[in-house]
Amino acid sequence: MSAFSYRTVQFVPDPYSGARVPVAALVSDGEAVRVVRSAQLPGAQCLGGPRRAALVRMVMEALHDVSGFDRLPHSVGARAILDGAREVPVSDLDAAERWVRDHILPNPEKVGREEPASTRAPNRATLGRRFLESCGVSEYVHATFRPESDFGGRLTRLSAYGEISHWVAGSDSLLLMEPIVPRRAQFREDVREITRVFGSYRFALGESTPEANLARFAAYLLPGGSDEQKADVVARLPAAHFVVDTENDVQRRDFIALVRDLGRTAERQQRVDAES
Amino acid sequence: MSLFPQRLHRVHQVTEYDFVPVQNGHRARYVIDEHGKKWVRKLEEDTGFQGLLAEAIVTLLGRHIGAPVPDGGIQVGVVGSQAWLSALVEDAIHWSPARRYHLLNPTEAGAMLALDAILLNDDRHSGNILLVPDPDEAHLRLHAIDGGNALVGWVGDYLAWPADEIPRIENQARGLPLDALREGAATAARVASEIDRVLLREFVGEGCGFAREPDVDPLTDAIEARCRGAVDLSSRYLDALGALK
Repeated sequence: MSAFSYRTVQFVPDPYSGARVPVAALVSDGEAVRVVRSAQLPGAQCLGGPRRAALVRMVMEALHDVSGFDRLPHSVGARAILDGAREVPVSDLDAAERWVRDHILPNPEKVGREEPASTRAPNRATLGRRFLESCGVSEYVHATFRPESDFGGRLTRLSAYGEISHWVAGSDSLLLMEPIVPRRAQFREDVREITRVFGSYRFALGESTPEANLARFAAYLLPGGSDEQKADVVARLPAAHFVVDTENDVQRRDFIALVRDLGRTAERQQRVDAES
Repeated sequence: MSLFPQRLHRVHQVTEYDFVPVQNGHRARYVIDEHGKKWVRKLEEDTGFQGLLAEAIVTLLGRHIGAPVPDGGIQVGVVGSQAWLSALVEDAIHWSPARRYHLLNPTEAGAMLALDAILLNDDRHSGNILLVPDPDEAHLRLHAIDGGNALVGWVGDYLAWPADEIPRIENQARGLPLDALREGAATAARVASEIDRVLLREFVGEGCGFAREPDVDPLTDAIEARCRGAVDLSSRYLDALGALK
């Protein structure tokens, strides 16, 4: 009898129709548990609409919190259930993972991609914007800093290094901000890209030029990250003046206060300019 | 025949589906009524009459003060047992702190906490807070479900609880964005503090009639006292929740 077993994670689109859709599996050797994610998720039309497609993505994200073979994370609620355990006829956990991925979960390479994804998850900038909205400071925040046109074009020479997701202008300074979403599959790529852009900007601005003090750089970590991820971001982003853990009350409040104060100085300056 | 207006739905016939696959201590089941409306049903034999009373008052007062509680109903004529019906919140997932900055309705979410403070609901764990994408995971609408363990259903215990004391907090959901919810809680508490006693008595009377609880006036008095002090009560309750780890 094999020591390896799996349990399929079935998404429940609608509790009344009885429909079940396999989206992942748990694989175990009796001690360790791994989550095997389906390479293909059902589209919105198949599930019954874009809200249900969003629910599938949320269930997949919640699987980061799997801690055992006998139950799904609590946050999944009634949206997904675990099938009974079945044996996997292999000799190690890596092989068990491959076996389940190849033979149990939907595999687009085998059946062909017939249905393109009709909904996409919100992007990193959108998730960051929602955080700023919920903290009541989005009125001060602009989307997508483009050096050649924003901030009066004063930083045009940075345009070769790319754009930044959000920015706040003060009366004579700038806060450039990038959100980081720890639970995104592209987390590592995101951090690399932000490191590159921040680093490039700061290099180009130099240390002792007039522009060096114009801009400050902030990366803010949205909720859901492990301690290791947070430490990793801090280590990889020396180019950021601030790395904010939004789950830390003090850091979050200080960051929001900074955004608000900066935005208000710009408003005051605009009023002064208008009156003079 | 009831002396009190009927604000809760009355349902006579349902079609049964699976049990709700979550651990909640009560065997809730998906049902559809004769008009095609979808509900989650809890039988009195599982909740006790106290649970039914709590659900009814939580629903009626909750909707009055703007809390995001689902429609409520009563399945009548169930042989040997009555049943509470809670309108299905479709396409929902449970609360997670990782989602705290995606709420579309923080005002209503705050009202939920004011309601819990007034009716002594110490069971607002993450499984009793639902999130519905509108239209996606960055935009979530919060719903408050399962008021069946609010102490208001246990009339003697509710009457004995000091009118200015907040509920226990150990079981409550972590990670709620309390700063964003505070204004909504205060607004709802003000609405509660100004509630007309006649109206409140109608809510209590309808719930008591359903649950066969005779102490309508003592219970109305006790709820009214907490409503009048709701602004301070909910503020202190949120302070206590803020200290939770």
